[in-house]
Amino acid sequence: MHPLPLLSMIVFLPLLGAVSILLSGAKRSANARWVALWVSLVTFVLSLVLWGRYDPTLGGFQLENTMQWISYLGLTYHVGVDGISLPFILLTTLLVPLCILASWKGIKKRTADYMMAFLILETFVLGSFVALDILLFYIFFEGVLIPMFFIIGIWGGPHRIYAAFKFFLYTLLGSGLMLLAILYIYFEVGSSIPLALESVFDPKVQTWLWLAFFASFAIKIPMWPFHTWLPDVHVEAPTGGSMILAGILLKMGGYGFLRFSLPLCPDASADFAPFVFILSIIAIIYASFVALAQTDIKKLVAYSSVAHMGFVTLGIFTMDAAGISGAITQMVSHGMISAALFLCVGVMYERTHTRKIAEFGALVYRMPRYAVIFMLFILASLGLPGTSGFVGEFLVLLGTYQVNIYAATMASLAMILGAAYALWLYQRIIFGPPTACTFTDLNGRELISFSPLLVGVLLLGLYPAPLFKVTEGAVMKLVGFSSLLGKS
Amino acid sequence: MFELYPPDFLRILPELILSGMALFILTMGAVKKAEFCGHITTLSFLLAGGALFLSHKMGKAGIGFEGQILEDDFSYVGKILILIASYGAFSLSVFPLIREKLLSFEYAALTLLATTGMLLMMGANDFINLFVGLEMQGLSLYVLAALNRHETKTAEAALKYFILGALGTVFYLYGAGFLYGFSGSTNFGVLAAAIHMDASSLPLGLYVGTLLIVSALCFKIAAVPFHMWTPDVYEGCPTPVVTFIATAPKVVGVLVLLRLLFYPFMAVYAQWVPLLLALSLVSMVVGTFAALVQTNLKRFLAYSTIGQMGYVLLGIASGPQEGIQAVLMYISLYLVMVLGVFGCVLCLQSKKVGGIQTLEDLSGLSKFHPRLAFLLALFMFSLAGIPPFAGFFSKFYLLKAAISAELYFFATLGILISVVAAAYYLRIIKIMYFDKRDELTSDFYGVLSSQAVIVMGLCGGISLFFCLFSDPFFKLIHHAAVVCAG
Repeated sequence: MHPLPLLSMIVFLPLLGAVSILLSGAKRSANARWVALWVSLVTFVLSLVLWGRYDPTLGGFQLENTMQWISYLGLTYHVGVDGISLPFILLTTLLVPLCILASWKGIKKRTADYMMAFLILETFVLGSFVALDILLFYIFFEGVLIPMFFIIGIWGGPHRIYAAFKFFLYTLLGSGLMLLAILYIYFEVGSSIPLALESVFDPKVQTWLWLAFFASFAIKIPMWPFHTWLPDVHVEAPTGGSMILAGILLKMGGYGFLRFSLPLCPDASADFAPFVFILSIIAIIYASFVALAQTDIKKLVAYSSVAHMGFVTLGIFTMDAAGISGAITQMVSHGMISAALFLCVGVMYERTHTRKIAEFGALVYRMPRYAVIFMLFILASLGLPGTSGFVGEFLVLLGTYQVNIYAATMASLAMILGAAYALWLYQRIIFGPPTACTFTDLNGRELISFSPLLVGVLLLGLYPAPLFKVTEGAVMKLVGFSSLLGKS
Repeated sequence: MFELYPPDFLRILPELILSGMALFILTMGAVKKAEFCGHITTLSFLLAGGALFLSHKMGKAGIGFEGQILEDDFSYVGKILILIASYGAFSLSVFPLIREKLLSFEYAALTLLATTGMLLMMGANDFINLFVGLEMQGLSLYVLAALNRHETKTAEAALKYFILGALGTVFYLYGAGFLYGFSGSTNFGVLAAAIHMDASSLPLGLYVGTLLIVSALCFKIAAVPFHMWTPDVYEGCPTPVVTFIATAPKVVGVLVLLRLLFYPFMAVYAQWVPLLLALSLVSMVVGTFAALVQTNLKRFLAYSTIGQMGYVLLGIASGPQEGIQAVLMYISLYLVMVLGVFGCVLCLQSKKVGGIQTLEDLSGLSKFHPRLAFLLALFMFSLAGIPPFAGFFSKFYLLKAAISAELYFFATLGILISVVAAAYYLRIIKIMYFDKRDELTSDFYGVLSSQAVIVMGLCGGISLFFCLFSDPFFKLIHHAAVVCAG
């Protein structure tokens, strides 16, 4: 029997959902919400099935689907998963239903269009994580911009147009340069990623390729000094948009580094590693200081994302098993934590229509449930042991320590700053002097949207083994030797 | 003496049909209504298309009329594109012209004559024959441009078009004269052989001739620095006419350029490549940056065309085979998108004056006419080269050709410029989708003719689904490119 193309189903189911919303009449927004929610939930369930069918002992790409596409371009539709892409697929399919739940009441105009944009976005994001054809990857990677442009531009805040343009053009510039690298690889070895991964490029060519890929992924993830688009976009984007942006779109940069920069340009990556270390350390320290000075909660969380992504780039370019596993864990963990934090901000924004820290205070009396949940995520964000944030940052530091002791020291010290801005934010909002407005505590829908993230953060913090089991083989392959933390 | 063979006439059957029909319309125009002439025109396009297909199927490729015309796969593809462009532009224009009381039998006849001229250019194998075609389409278009001659702006634009077009013609004739003087023939084949014979010691006159002829064609495709007429003509002339000027003549200009450069001028390849690269560079830069600051919709489209022509020239400079293939694909998809864009523009009319003028007139479109806004947004994304739309594939293919010709600098620049270009294409989307407007300043005419709806639907469908069904198209283009590369 021909096996079902599970992976393609996961990728294109959301698109199918979007088309069905389009055909069922855009006027009925309630209908659109439910369709979007169910479609994304089914996608999530399918991705769990995918996880079950994925065999970590085999290594390499699995569950591949291949189809001839445009023969004159040498383009094939080729998708598959390995240990690096699987965690991101799960993260994406987990977050999208939550984003849809988060937008349930907040999005009042053009709800059907919004849901369609989200489902199309999900297809593009998933596609870029599973694409094994270099042009296919680029199509998905760049396609993400279109729905996101509309999400920010139509449903965003007062300066949404500026933010939408900044996001689109900044990212397009980066991916344009990547397109050059892709064209070169395409011209030299063809469009298959597995084939490209096996080829060895001349060191001089590697340098150029690395820089071209770096332009795209450093903007996407984003690294200092290419991060300036992120705070603007986060502040203007609607809650769901911010969640998906911080939760998943940033990870596409990290994924790109792991998928392309490291294996395609190993020599160049080694050469540029100190440079990346410096940028990462600056990002961690600088973004933490900037976060301390913010008056807008969303901007603060946005800058904390820049700092956390600093750890990711640090971990990736240690080119060490622990560092890379740490970076992946950090990305998955940050995906959940930042989504949850933006959800926390969104919950308050829906009630008060403000995000100014100064306008909140003494929420612990009025919203005890909210206070507890917010605290857990704040603690996870600063890397408290027992939460996923700790596992990621610890492994990154462990990896960095083996490579560059100074970088590790600086990064560890910077973690104190992370604790400072996070705790100070919590103190001001939850315990500060009471303000006049009255709030209702979290309702059932909000609790439901928080709970999977909470479970995920704690599970990954207390028992990260399932994640490592998935990533281990791929990470080994990436670093090219076979001992992760003493295990075989 | 000439001996006439019937097969020769079969080769130019589409041209014969179109010119015959034009004459028929000119006679019938005196007694019949303009709408009738419109139907006749549609019919003649269909007949010409059928004739083209038949004569190609019957294997009538080859040289005819003692070396005057050349029919091969390349000219076949070119003629298909010209007929599609002319028919598309005409079918989109009929209703708007009726509304503005501009539809007359002359319009139909001149469209057919211009198309005949373009087909002749496509099949030319001789500079004299090419000149006849060039003038036939040029003169018809100048008259069309002055269709609304009582409008001062239109009259001015038409005059500019005519004078600069005439200047282009002068360039052409002077260049052809040089070539004749130094090779002793106006025939492409003879010329190619003559240049090829002693490519080492070519007289300077041949280079001058090549330069002049390339410049003349650059007038037609509006490459910088020969672009000056474009914004004024786009702005001043009636939009239905601009739709025609923006599509078919551009396509034929590019294709004839391909034919000349890769056939008679192939031996001086090394000389014209830097020239084209320079033209490409300035066209991309000037077109793109000028488009950024436009507020008038049609001027904006004019500059965006200039920018796009820069990419086409880069493709041509990327050398035979790959480059030709990329350019053919680029120009055909460009044709589709431009037809679509103008179709959208023709659906709208400003409340103050006929036809929408400024970009701001588009605001609120997504609220009041979501389908039209969606279509226009689709074309804008496609023109900006964002995947997964058709425009991305044509741009990708073109850049790939440039990379394979090792034009790394120009490919990089092309990509960087395309980011700037994305900014202004996105501006249209921003105006339609993000700007809040409670009432439309522009008016919707409702559906155009059913033919126009089909044309626009096809354009939209191709832009959206090109990635799914592109293989037959690639096959056709591939054959044409192989033939053109010789």
